[in-house]
Amino acid sequence: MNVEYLYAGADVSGRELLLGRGSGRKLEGVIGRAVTALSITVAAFIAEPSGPQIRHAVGTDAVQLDVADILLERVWKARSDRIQPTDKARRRASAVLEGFREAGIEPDRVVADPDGGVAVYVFGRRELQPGTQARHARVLAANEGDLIALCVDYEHNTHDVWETDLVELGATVSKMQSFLAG
Amino acid sequence: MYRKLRVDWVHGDRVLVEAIDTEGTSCDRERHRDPKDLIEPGWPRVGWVVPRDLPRAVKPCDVSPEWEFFALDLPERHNEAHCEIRARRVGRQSVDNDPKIKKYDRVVRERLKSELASRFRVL
Repeated sequence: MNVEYLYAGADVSGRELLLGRGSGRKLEGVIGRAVTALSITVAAFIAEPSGPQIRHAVGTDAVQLDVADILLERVWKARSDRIQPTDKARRRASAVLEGFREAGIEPDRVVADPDGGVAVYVFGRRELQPGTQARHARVLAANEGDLIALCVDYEHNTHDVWETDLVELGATVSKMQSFLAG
Repeated sequence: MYRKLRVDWVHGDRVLVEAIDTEGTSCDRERHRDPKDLIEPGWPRVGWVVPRDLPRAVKPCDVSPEWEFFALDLPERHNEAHCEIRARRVGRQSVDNDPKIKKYDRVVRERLKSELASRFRVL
């Protein structure tokens, strides 16, 4: 039986969230943001015996969305006193991820929103300073079912927010792509 | 004012909208708090903003009134430094977090949250 262990934690500095996977209790690879495996304080979670399926790649490393989703859910539930994302929000966030991928964009971050929902982030390339991009785009799949798009430009202090939907997702992603390239 | 932050609420030296609570964003006043004391498991980062930098006269969309943020001291039994950043419609004098904010749709709330988040810097 292929029992996989999924790991989530922060490195000792607490600066990076880490998502990892392995078999047995040995951490074999980091699938989320890259930090050194030795430095983690780990909470281990046991995945389904059949193991996760590959559907998406998210982030700079090859992240399996199913794995990331399970981890995010469990991490979130373990440490949150706020509203949990609904199944509807998760499904719509999955569609948003797919929409980005179809446009050749790999989302950088998927987080649960404390007001209820799942937010998908894409950061631009141009940096204001090392580690801080001048622009980012975010699509929130809210628990209520709304899809809210946000484009932030720190340099010009603009915050463009609009409601979108799955039918308009392609246009929204395209608009974000142009925005992030600017 | 300092706000303790989860790691996924931070990008570089910036704070993301997830860190903002539309029911009132809890912070600690600088004069009563060493930011290092806020760091704890699950809350490894600290954001910083000063009251004069809070957003004023934000109009999220055509049909929304203007909003402003303000800081209110709310010392607690175990935390004398506690304060809260609240939102209200411009012109209102109440120090309550404006109950109307919940009546507006997520577009308005997300815009307000984004404006406030952008004023923080991560220490």
